Amino acid sequence: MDLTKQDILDLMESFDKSSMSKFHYSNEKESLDFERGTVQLPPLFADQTGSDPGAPAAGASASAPVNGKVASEKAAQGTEAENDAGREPEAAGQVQLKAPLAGVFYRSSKPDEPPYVKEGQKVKKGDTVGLIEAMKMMNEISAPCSGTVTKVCAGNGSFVQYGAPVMNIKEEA
Amino acid sequence: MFKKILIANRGEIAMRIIRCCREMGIRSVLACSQEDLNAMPAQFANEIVCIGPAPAGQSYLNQNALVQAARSYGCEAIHPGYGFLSENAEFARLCEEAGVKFIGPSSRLISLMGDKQSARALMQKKGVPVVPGSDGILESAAQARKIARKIGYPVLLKASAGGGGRGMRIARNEAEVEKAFSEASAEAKAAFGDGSMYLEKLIHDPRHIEVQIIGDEYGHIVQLGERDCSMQRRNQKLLEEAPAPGLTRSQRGAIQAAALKAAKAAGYYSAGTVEFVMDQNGKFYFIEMNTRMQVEHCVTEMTTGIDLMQEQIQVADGRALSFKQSDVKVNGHAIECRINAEDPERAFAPCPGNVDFIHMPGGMGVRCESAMYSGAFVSPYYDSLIAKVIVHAPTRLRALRKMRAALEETTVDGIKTNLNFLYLMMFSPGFVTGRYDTSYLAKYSEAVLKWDRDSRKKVKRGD
Repeated sequence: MDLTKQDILDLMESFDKSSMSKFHYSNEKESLDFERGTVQLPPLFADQTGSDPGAPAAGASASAPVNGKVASEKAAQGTEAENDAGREPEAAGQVQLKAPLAGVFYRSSKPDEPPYVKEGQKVKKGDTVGLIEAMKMMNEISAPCSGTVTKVCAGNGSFVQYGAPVMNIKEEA
Repeated sequence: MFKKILIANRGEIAMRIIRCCREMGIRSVLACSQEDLNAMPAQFANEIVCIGPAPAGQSYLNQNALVQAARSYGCEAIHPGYGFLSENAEFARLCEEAGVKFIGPSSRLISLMGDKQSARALMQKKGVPVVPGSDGILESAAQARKIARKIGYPVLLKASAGGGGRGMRIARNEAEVEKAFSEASAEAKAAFGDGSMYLEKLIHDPRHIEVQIIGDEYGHIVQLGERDCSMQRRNQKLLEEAPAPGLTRSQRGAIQAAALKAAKAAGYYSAGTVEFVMDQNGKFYFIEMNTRMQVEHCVTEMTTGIDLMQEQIQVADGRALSFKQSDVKVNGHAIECRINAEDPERAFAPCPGNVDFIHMPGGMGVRCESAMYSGAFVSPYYDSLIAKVIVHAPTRLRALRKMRAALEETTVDGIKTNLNFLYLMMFSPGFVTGRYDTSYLAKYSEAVLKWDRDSRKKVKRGD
């Protein structure tokens, strides 16, 4: 028999309510699979708009979510930083440089020096684009790819969390 | 009072610190790893700062990131919890130099007590009984043999910089000393950077009795009674209770007085614990001092009614202790069981994974400390402790019954835990009679596991 859209929705609902972890159906023309997902830790660059960071997670569900989406939303709430890093969603072809360590971000090597990079500037993969300092320990951070810096997300002298957006680079050969 | 505290820890102790901060009107800033962004403490802290990826070395042990985060987020103090950097003198000093208050003793005190041999020497000088052994660092294995001949075998070759059971080797006779000495020293050199050794008589099947201490920065030190932590598997505590069962009044008084003497000798302040071993004849000896708040501090809170963490934070803020020694009364009996994500059937191997469902017990005299919730993830990157269940009742027997009921009610689905094992321990003869020492689990775990397995066997029809 062919599955109608309603059949599939009904099956999904029954699966969700059941204690099954996997479901498989197939005929000559099509097959349908459901699998219960584990709580995934989503990447830190969540592009959902988060809600109040102070609010506790909405009532934890007793069963694992079917596709891990619930976990992503909770993490977005948790990830919403007190940080002033930009929340630009990634556009196609953009690579986001995320802070490889936590600390204070500096755009130039010294206060009176010009910044390593400006928005609109071209960089090569591996170029130093900034510094992150933690308790006088300086770390150079480098461009993850070659291209043009489209946006510097982290403010000069601001604290960046591990994984926070630092800058967006439009990847170009 | 501090306006903001950075919490440099995770799991149940992070929840404990957050709750304490809330009560005291202090804003909590949780420094967590990327792995813990979905964990309960991250939901309840006023602010979160992600200081590194999952591996503790890059996050919870990342001293520079932690102190920088404290400064950048305007935190006047850092609470290190237990484990991680809580007894790291270098970290305490980094905080001191950065003008951030380390909630604990000074870096000098941590170093003093962290050096096992100098702590031992200090105790000897002040008349606190120590385990018979060497006076000072051993110059050679030959010197070790000379001392061992006098005090008698078996002996323990111990690294001064050691801890957590590392840098220790047993020598049962003269022939074993050379190997024990060089192996322990090499292990300590590799793990702690210092291979200095000292020697102690090996006490056979001792009890582990420790005394809770707290002091303020005005020289006022108080002891809050002893705990029995003898139920250990490979030097890891499984459960604790207070008061220690089966001590005479004079033994109890003597051990508490010795602990207070030890803490005063060191000029100690903040929360800490003085550890003793008690031999089969009831004689006790100082072994070391823990310069931090311990996992089992809750047991003492239940018997004394004193909020140790609140006192610890107040002391760090420069206040005096809110009570005197004469105010301290030990009432009733308390027991704590540590619930771990581990599989007793596979040598208690850690079992990380998803906790599909969890239910913790409640009721009069039942206290739970946990960061678990239904759907939480137990990470493979950290230790396996997921919850503490603590009970308090007017007598030991009633506490035992209360713990049985509490553990029956506790439910954890989705991962393996030692819950059944703990429950059966509440019926094991040694624990019920209060007659157990540090060898108990090594001797009887297998029997308890068999009991568990047998109880789950299907009953054949006709039986």
